[in-house]
Amino acid sequence: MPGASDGTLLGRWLPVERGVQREDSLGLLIHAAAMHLSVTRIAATHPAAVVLAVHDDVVVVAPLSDLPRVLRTSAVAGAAVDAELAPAKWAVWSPANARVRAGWPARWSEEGLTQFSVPLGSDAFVAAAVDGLAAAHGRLTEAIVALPETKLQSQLLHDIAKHTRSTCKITGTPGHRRESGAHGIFLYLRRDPQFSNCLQRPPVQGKKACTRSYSTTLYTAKFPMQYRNDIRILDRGAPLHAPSIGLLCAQNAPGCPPTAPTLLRNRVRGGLSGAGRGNVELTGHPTIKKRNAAPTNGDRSCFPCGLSQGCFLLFRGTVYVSSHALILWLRFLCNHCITCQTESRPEKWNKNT
Amino acid sequence: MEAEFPATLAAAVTLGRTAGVADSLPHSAADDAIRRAPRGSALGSSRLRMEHLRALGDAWQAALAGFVRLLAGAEAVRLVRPLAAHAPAGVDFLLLSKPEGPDGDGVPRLRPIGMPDVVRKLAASALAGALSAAAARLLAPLQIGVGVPNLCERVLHEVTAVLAHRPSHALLQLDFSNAFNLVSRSAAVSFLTRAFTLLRPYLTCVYLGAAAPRVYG
Repeated sequence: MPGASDGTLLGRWLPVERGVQREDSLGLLIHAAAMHLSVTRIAATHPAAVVLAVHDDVVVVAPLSDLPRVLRTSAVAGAAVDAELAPAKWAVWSPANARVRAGWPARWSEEGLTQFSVPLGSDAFVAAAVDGLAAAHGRLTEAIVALPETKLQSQLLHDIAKHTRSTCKITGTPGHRRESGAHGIFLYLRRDPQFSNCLQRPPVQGKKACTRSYSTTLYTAKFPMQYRNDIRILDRGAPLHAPSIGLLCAQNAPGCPPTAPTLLRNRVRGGLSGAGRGNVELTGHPTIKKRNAAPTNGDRSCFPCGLSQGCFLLFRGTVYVSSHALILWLRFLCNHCITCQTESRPEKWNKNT
Repeated sequence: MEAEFPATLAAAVTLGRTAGVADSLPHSAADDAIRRAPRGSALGSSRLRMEHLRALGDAWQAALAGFVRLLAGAEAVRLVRPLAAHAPAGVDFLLLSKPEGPDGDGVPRLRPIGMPDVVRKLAASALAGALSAAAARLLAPLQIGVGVPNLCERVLHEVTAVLAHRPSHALLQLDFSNAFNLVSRSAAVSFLTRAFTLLRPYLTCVYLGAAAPRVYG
């Protein structure tokens, strides 16, 4: 390999022929497109199965007798796009509490599964998870309150980062799994993905909650509902909020051709008025209220750690003022640095910063 | 690929005809990508940051949008020589050691963090923004990883509803090993270019380029 006179290698090109480039904005599309080919083959080979995929995370709901064949098809379909199955990451859960079969290559869970940090489980399962989350939230709040004021900003970020490492493993009980859907959705809906989200004003917080990416950790289920402002009554298969009724659900709406095997078309009544603004009701249940609707008295609950709402607002205001002071200080520094003293600096920058 | 997935590729061609995606990148998509580009992101091989490009001012922003459209269009393949094309197509890596220690062969397990060039990132963002809705239609309803908001909620809805309706069925979670880094580029490009001709120049430049010229020193 040529290089400098002393034999050191100066540079090396590494040609890449497989995979998606890291941080490429089109990388997700390219990855999803490649995996889509294998997913479509799985779905076409097993028409009785429900197949859903988020990139390479594939979920299959199928009869127990079909699962071995699904695995074989998945291996072949994955190999066609150079994707190798990882048996160590497989998992199966049977709501009918079926026993594991001899020679089954994947993990057979009898206690439910966690799907993208979203639980599928029973009452006890959800209750235990909620208690754990509430306790964790309380510990975090106490730690924040105990912080010295001078180190609040940096320590807050540090503690939040440390706290969010903990994930929640939720399991189920056989007798109540038919109710698991509603509770799973309920817990997911009311989670608080980031503590910083609590510090936002309700409209901003609502937006952040709706745009949360998957794999974020779960948090308390006793968060005041006036900050969640979207859903009050839930049922299995209920749409969480209007933006979640989009393309896929619309395709399965009443009167539309059934392109995917889902129960939503059996549950949604009243039609859809389009993604992002639909008013959808379940049969007999006014499921969705308008966003930012006025909170009801029943929503005025306290934090699980016992912190009252007034204390929370006071704390939020303190942090808000501190943040503003920090921004002003940074702006002062920025206005006196060399870069910002150039004449080409547009006037609008002063407004934006 | 035609022999492996004939029906899927044919469906991609059909959707591409009806998707209404232009063959060239719209001006608005380039403008949106520049306007939404995050500040403070890592610099790429050109050492340019988005702050440098914003400092050019309004007049230069239009020129920058034109350059982004050029990079995302067929002109990039025609005008940019292969030697120069590899520069924006490459990625600087920041290699982080994984906490679980070395691999079985004693080599440290690394997590690469890619840092592409800022202008190429703008072109990719513009293309992604222009294709987001059409891509969601192309991949629906099986693959919901692109252009679908609240995707986790959707999966949960589907799975819980189906399990409640068919309690004798089982839920199987499948995962693929390191698929992001190992998946076939030719398969993805073959599928995407059939649906969206808009993507062909970019994918040709960045993912299907000829062997990189060896430059030392």
